Amino acid sequence: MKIFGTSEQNERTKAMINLKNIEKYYENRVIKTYVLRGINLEVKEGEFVSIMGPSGSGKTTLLNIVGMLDAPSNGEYYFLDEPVHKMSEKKLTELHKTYIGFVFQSYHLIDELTVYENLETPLLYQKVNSNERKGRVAETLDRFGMVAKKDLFPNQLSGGQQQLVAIARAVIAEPKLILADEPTGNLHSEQGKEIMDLLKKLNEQGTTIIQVTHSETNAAYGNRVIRLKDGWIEK
Amino acid sequence: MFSNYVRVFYRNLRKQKVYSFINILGLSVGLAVFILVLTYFNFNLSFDSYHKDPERIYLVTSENGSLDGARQRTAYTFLPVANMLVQKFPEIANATVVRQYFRNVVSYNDKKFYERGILFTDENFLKIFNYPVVAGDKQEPLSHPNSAVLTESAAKRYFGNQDPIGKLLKADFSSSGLIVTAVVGDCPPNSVNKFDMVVSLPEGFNNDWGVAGSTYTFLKLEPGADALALESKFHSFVDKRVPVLRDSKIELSLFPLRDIHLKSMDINSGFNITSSMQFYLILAIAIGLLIVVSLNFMILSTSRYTNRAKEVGIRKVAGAARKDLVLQYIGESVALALMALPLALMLFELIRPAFIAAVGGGVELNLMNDPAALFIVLAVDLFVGFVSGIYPAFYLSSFQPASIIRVAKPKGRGLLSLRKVLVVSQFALTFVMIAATLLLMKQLSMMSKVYLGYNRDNIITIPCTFEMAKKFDVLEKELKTNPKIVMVAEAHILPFSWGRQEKMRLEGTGKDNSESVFSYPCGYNFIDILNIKMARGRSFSRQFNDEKSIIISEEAAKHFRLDNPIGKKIILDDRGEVRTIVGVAENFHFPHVVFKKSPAVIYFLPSQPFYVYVKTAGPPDDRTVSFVRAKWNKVAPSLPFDYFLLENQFQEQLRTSTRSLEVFEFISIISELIAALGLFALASFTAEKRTKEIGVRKALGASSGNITYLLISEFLLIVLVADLIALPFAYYLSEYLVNIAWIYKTDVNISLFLITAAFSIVAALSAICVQAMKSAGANPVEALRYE
Ligand SMILES: Nc1ncnc2c1ncn2[C@@H]1O[C@H](COP(=O)(O)OP(=O)(O)O)[C@@H](O)[C@H]1O
Ligand SMILES: [Mg+2]
Repeated sequence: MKIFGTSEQNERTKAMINLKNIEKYYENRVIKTYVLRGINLEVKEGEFVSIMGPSGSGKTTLLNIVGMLDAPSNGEYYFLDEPVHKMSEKKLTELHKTYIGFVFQSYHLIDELTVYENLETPLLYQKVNSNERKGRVAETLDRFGMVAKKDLFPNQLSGGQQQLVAIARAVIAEPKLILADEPTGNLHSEQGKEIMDLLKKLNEQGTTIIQVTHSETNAAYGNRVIRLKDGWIEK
Repeated sequence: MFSNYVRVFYRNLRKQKVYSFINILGLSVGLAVFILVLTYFNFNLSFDSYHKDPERIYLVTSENGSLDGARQRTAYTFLPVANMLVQKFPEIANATVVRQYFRNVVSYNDKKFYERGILFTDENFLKIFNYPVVAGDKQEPLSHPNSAVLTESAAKRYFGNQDPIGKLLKADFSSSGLIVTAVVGDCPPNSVNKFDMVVSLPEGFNNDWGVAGSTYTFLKLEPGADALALESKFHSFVDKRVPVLRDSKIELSLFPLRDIHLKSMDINSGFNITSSMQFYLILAIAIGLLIVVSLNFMILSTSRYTNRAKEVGIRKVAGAARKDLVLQYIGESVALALMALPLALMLFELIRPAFIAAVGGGVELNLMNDPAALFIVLAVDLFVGFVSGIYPAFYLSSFQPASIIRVAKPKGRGLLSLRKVLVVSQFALTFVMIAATLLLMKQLSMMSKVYLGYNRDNIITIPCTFEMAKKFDVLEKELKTNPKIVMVAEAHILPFSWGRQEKMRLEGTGKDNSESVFSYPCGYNFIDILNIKMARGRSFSRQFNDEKSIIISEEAAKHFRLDNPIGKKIILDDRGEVRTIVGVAENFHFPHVVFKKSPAVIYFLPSQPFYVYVKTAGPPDDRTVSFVRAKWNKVAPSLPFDYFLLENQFQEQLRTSTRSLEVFEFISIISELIAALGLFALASFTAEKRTKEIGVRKALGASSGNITYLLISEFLLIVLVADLIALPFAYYLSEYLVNIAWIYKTDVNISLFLITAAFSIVAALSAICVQAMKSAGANPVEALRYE
């Protein structure tokens, strides 16, 4: 988390993500179905990128690959100049948990854990000690205005509230990169705006953000738009 | 982190109350039965371990050839053997002689009892065996003739709360009476040679080579002495130089005290022994149950896990490494298994009395003072938890998080098909267990009805002592006044007791040809009351003087190669008598039904009865019994009256010797129930998974009946597949069991397996019907809204 320290500011232009000729296909006995083809993409630290495209064009797949939740079928992926496509699962987990926070369209909170416990979970995996953990969870609850809700279970919250928790959980470990897959897709526009403002603020504080969105308004929060169609990046 | 896991574990348990409960309950039932069998196993292994250095104590056995070629080994030797051995071989530290009498009347004032198995022995008995003296002479209570040592409960029986020491008991074998010199604690239940009373042997008795019969010789070896080496010295020295042994070709050998209980089935003795085969069968079926229960536990565990795929994905996204997840899920499984342990201990306490009754009593089952057993139970429990957790843990944690998160409800195919395999194994194993149980039941029922060459019906059997001999004629006359009483006989034995062998040969052959043959002494009417049929010649009768007569079986005639046996003479070497064959009996079988048919002879030996048989016309009623009792008390007031029916006693003995059957039935049924529970859980989870499909089908017009059929047929198929897989194993096992264990064999036929299959289908149907009907009745709109 603190690995980059103060040099971060000086290296704003350094490439955080570098995808070279990424392909992804699913094959069954009969055919190979390409979901992504010839993807070349560079994202620099501090950018706020929006991925757009029709349903089924491969946006989620791309985001998952960037987030190391899924492996490409072909191509090279460098994260901070390190070759992700050559890494062991252990190393991947390590990299993933240190640098990346994920937000899903359908929130994906652990149903059996309270808001507080859901927030705490990434810190547990990062072996943050108990005192610091408590401090950070409290601080995050405060920042997201959810102190009163901390002992509720996900099914006791509205969709917007659940998504807030999901984002809070994504940022609590202070990731360098937040990946958000249609974070406002299931929300009213009012709630959606709140979420987007939050992401914007995080970006201004230095977090790199890649979001998938269908809305031009939301895309406008970012500083670059990438359009996918049938697995290709539209030029 | 740990508390995070615990919370998720606990909340999931609560959310799936029914499954969690079934899961824990199933395992605890299996564990409870396993604990029972384990403690039973340990109890049987613990026989005579309470003596000091028990592994240094040996029984001297004697072996000789018998008529059908097999060596016959008995636990009986001659009285002087103990003294002779201890003087000749320095590696023997101590030796004792134990003579066991069959039945005697002992009394104190008006208290009068039959004592079964009084031990006549010397002062070394209490030095070799550990029966601590609790009152009286602690040093040598048996050093004087006519001293008696009682157990605490025997002392209580005669003397109540009075001090027994120095009191004089009357006994039918001693004119001077017995002086109680000491009281010892009751024999622990794990003793092969239990007693109520020990009496000192008359002086000079143990130099008498002439007294054969129920004499045991026990040796205690010096530390480090080699029993095998000692035994070979017996063969080269003792057997050849002692005339009695040499002439009758008896060889002495040693048998470890600790092995008597489980390993001496082929040694003729009066010890408390168990057939090790039955014992291992019980162990096998308990392990079978344990496997079924573990499979059940796995099935339910994997079911619980299918709903956890999403959690796995989220945890991975949150940074969980694979090993974190594996640990978490194995940990949960182990924790769940541990929760079954206290319940298992409670169930163990609960079913222990029933189990003890089922194995015939006389058994002490304790887990708490048996650290090894406790440890094994804990280890098994942890192992089941661990193994149940391992596959789901690795399976779930292997998912790419993307695929889990994308498909909001994961397929869980792998787990489902694993579950099917587990359910099939569970039912297959249960099939084998049920089939084996049915086979044993069939075998037992066959053995209880098989005709053994004599008739046991309607015979009132009254134990007595030799004293009856003088009164028999009067008793018979008195009893015959009742028209319901058909016949009265003097008997030495019960026709289904193990039987005794004696050395004998045809007149005109040398002592070298002498062989051991089953031989039964009897009194008047014995042959007729049992309706043993004569093939040739006659049975014993008052019209003749039969004191020198003998009757042989057709089998014996064949073995002696006698075409024309009547009038031929047989020499009974042990008795030093020559007897004339007066009849040939159709084959009869007195040893236990499980033994092979052998040649046998019956010789006339009046006035030494141990029983009086009274045969009634039709089943004896209370009035007839009262009549017999009244006459008995009138004719023989010194003998307590006690009776049983011969046929009942036969069935009882058969049951005792096949007592594992009840345990078998019990364990197999539990196993079937648990297998059904597993199927129930599988059905519920599948139904849950197919809620949407069922909804769509119903929306398209399928009836509840259609849906029920759809769900049931799938599971019935699983059970049928299991049955088919199990069939060859069950068949092979049944053939094997029948062939190794019995002489009179029941036939292994298809009906056995059809019944077993029907059993499993009924169990399966009842388990899944409830669930199938519930799903079928569900409202389709509700079902679809779920997704
Ligand atoms: N596991 C899979 N197997 C086969 N095809 C898949 C799988 N996952 C996604 N796809 C296909 O990949 C394509 C892209 O999916 P996705 O990345 O989710 O698109 P988007 O997020 O742009 O809607 C879709 O056509 C989808 O059907
Ligand atoms: Mg998508």
